[in-house]
Amino acid sequence: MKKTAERFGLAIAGTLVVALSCYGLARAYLYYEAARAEHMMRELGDVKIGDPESQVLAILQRYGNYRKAPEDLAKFDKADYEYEAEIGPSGIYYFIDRGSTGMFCRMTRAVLSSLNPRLRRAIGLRRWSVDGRVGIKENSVTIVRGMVLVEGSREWLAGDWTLAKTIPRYAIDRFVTSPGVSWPHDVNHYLVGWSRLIAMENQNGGGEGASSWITPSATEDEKRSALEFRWNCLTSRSGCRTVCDLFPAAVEYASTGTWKERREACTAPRSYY
Amino acid sequence: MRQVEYQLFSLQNGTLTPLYGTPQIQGVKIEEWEANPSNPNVHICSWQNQDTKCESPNSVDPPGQYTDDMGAGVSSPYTVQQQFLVDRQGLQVFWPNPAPTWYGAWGTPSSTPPGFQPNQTASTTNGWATISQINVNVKAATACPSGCDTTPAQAGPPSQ
Repeated sequence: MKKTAERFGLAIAGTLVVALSCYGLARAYLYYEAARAEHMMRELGDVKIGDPESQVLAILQRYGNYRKAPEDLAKFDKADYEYEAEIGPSGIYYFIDRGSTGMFCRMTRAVLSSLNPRLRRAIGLRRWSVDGRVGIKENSVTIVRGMVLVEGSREWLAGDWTLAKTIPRYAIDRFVTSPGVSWPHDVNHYLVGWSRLIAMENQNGGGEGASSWITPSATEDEKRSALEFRWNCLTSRSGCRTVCDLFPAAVEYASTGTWKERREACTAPRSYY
Repeated sequence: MRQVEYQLFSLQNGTLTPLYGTPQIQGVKIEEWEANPSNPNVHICSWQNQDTKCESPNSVDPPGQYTDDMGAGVSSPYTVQQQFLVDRQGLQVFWPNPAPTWYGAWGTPSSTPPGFQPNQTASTTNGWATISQINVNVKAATACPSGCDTTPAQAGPPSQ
């Protein structure tokens, strides 16, 4: 009887040690991948319009998981073709298709998606993905994009930036020419917008995101602002609360509208979970 | 993704006149109600839950306009019925058919859930969406001399 109790105690202790080790390893792995993602985005942030394709390919190859993007994206951006790269050990969507994603990454996603979302968030295993996209025209860079999508404490949060020769008319019309907006930058150089994350499945909850656009003539301050993310949102145990916590450029978006709902965009997140 | 910007107009003697951007629009609330999606797994603008409500003004739209983002391409194709309300009252939604003539639709009074009277059906596929009006008032051709976007409800994606 005593032996059985001892064995039972040992089994419980063993299970606990294994569970804690797995948890520690998972957190360490997510930290490691978040650091890689930050490096990738910094390198993409240094890419300039007109840089040679080979230079961009060298960057993307360092991060492993990349491919040519679907043709419709390139067509929309008026590029000959585009490359996209993804670091998303815990992402929910396969921006790079499942077949081109490494086995280990697919396994980590499968394990994380099998955990109860509330439990997973409570223990700080947040889902996120970081994506870069580069459009090529006549063998040189014509557009660069970076996006971070992360599970926040109350909703999904996204931030993305685009470096292009010109800021698209639809973005200017939507975010600057509305009544009640006073944008303090030259809108032909730098613009920040806001959106709800749409068409996400119910099981994942919804969210919000902010986007910045810059052109080569943006000032150094504008470039820095457009490209800045708070990377601790990917690894923080409690998670970030609003889009502005992840993507500080969104603060200026919120402060440049006259109506209450826009001014409170950084302080009143929705609660989707 | 298709973004449709709805703006508030007044209708007088068969002519639509912009109300958005005018001082009298302050405090006006536009709501979009969605129901009966063909794919139950997608997020819709359900008015029965505070966190899934879609209304203007919001962090993007100032009073008097509301932008509907449809079909980001990460979910499978679906259709959903839509109703628009201003200060809790249903209203007509006008589309050009074809411009410069506009027709409004009050929608159907006999839909579910109770109280829902959809003006139109949105169908999204391949990251784009098209709209079909319900019960169009074809007897009341309407003019919109200024401030109206003439993109039809059934328009396809823009060619680049």
